[in-house]
Amino acid sequence: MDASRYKILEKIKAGTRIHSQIPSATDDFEKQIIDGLEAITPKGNQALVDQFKNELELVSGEFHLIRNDDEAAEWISQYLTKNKVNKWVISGETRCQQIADRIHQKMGGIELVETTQIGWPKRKTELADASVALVEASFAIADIGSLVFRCDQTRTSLPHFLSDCVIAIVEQKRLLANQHELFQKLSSEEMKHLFMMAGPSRTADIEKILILGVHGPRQVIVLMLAS
Amino acid sequence: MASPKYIKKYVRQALKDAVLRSAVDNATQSTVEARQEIIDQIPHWEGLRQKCHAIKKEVIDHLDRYLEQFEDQCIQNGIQVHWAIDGREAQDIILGIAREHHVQKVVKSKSLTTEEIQLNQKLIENGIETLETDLGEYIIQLMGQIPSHLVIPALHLTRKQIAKLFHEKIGNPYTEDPTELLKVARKKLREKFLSADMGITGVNFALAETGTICVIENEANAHLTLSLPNIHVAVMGIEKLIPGQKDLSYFLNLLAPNATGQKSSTFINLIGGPSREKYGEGPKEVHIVLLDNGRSNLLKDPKMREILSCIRCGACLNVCPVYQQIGGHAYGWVYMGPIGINLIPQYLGKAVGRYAPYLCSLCKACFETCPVRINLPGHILQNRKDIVQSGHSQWVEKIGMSVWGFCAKHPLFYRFVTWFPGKLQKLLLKEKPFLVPGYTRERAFASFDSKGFRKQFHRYLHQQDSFSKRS
Repeated sequence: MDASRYKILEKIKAGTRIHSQIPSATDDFEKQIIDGLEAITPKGNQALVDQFKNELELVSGEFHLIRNDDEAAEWISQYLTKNKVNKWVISGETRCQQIADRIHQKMGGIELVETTQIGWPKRKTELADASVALVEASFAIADIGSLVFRCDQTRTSLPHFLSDCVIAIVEQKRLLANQHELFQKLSSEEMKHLFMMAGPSRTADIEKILILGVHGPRQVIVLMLAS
Repeated sequence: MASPKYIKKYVRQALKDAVLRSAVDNATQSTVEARQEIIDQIPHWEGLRQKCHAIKKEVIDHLDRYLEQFEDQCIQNGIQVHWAIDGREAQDIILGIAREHHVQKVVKSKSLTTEEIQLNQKLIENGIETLETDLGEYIIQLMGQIPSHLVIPALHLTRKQIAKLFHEKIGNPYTEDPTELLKVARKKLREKFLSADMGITGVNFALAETGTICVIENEANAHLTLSLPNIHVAVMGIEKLIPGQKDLSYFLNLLAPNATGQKSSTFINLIGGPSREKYGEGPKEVHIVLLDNGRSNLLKDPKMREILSCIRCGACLNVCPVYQQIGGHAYGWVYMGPIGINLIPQYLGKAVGRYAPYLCSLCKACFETCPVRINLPGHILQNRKDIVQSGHSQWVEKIGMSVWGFCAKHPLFYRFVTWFPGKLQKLLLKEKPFLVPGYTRERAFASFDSKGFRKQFHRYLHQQDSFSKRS
């Protein structure tokens, strides 16, 4: 392997010593990008929320603006009852734990799986059985209707992908305009285990017909906690 | 594979296949329209293209430096890095990892690089169950075919064909309902995800500064592939690097609109090492296989090395009039369309790939579309030139060019040769076009103008001359 590494790097070094004739860009593209982003970013918090809602709905997600954790607990309780959910799961954030506790004080009979309390390999089989996951997103991105999950906060990524329905809570103050803002905000350590989710899993592999819920969630519901 | 004989045979077949052409046309046109809708909302689209071109140029021109930096960071992150000169070595490395861990079941997410090295065949030959999990790739694997598009692998198949395939191979009740077909695949593959020992993915982008890899998808199969099994192996071409995280957003903004006509891909996964110890889930080991397989040869050419900028979005295929007529299988390799015909002679050699660069009308639509502004038509012409200079051109072309060369050096003979076919056509065929064996089987040969080019050109020059005198 070391021999292959040496050979490959030597070949690359020999190649790159030849002066490149790939044309260089001439326009001031940095300015174009900054001006462009500025032009398409809505002004004001409410406009940004509206943009996120629109973009999320365009990718078949569902959006609700709620005032506090109590209202979130109420909303989720109603959802679990209405959809006759037998088993649901939460990811590792404190907020998810607190909301789950409130729900279970009011209504019993629904099995709750606390992901981070279960060891491997039982965790994957337990999660695969649950139909609803309650998770908290680290950020939301307005211009693409996407949620950002940092694994150092969620401590897991499986409920987000194995459950049929993902209910994601995100604080309004965590709403960013675009991915450029996100990557400038995050440290390199925070980027090492991270994923983004823009609506339910999807495919158009059969005659370009859009179908939701391929291997991941069929439904993504965002509960945004108003600032 | 991609040989002149193969290409000729499959092009003929494709041109007669109306179902294929209609399927390709429908799929490519809808993506082109969706892409345009998104571009219309982004005023800085050209700026993004230029930025990404500049980033890729920087990386390619200093690839050794970025690769070494990426390797160092990966090792710090606990990722095991392997280097493979060619496909065979990459196969052996992955098989070695599988054997060391007694792997019996492998799940894979969509990866053109693993298709390039024919990894599935190698693992299956060695008794390891290897299953594609992207729906399109799963269909293709059941069919025993290779992808016909870089992004939409089963684009050439109708739902009837897929329904029949599932019924025969999986044994579910026959249905043509795409949602029902999807449920069948989801159930089958969910079991496989939960029991797999190893997950293999490709890499869309690799961040040199942090040793992080980015895997982009819509179905969620890639995330399950890289997080459920004990071992994750990521196979990446050495050209997939970008400097750092700030550069990633530009590429993310370009990739999804060009690949699928979406504003953003549904799932974007960033992986910076094994996570089992840290989070109690995810892989215990992460391996990265850095594949050369002919890529470093491209660096010798100071212009053509630009091809290494390709982000495999497939946008050039969607606008290519030749691809729309013949589909992906006629190219005979995993890379097709304008990017494919540039890569085929480079990766498979000029002897095998000598025909591929001629699958192009030089309309330049690919250059206009390419998100990283690769001069694909320019490189196609260079490939053709290299093929001629290396003596690999076709005998018909050699004879044709020799005859033309002779005529061009003898003006009287040239006049006769350009005058005669027009006259012959008028006398013998009453102005009907000539029949040329092979060529006129699928299309008409253009009629010769009886006035002739020289006469018309002289008349034009004369008119220009008198006009300038008058003015």
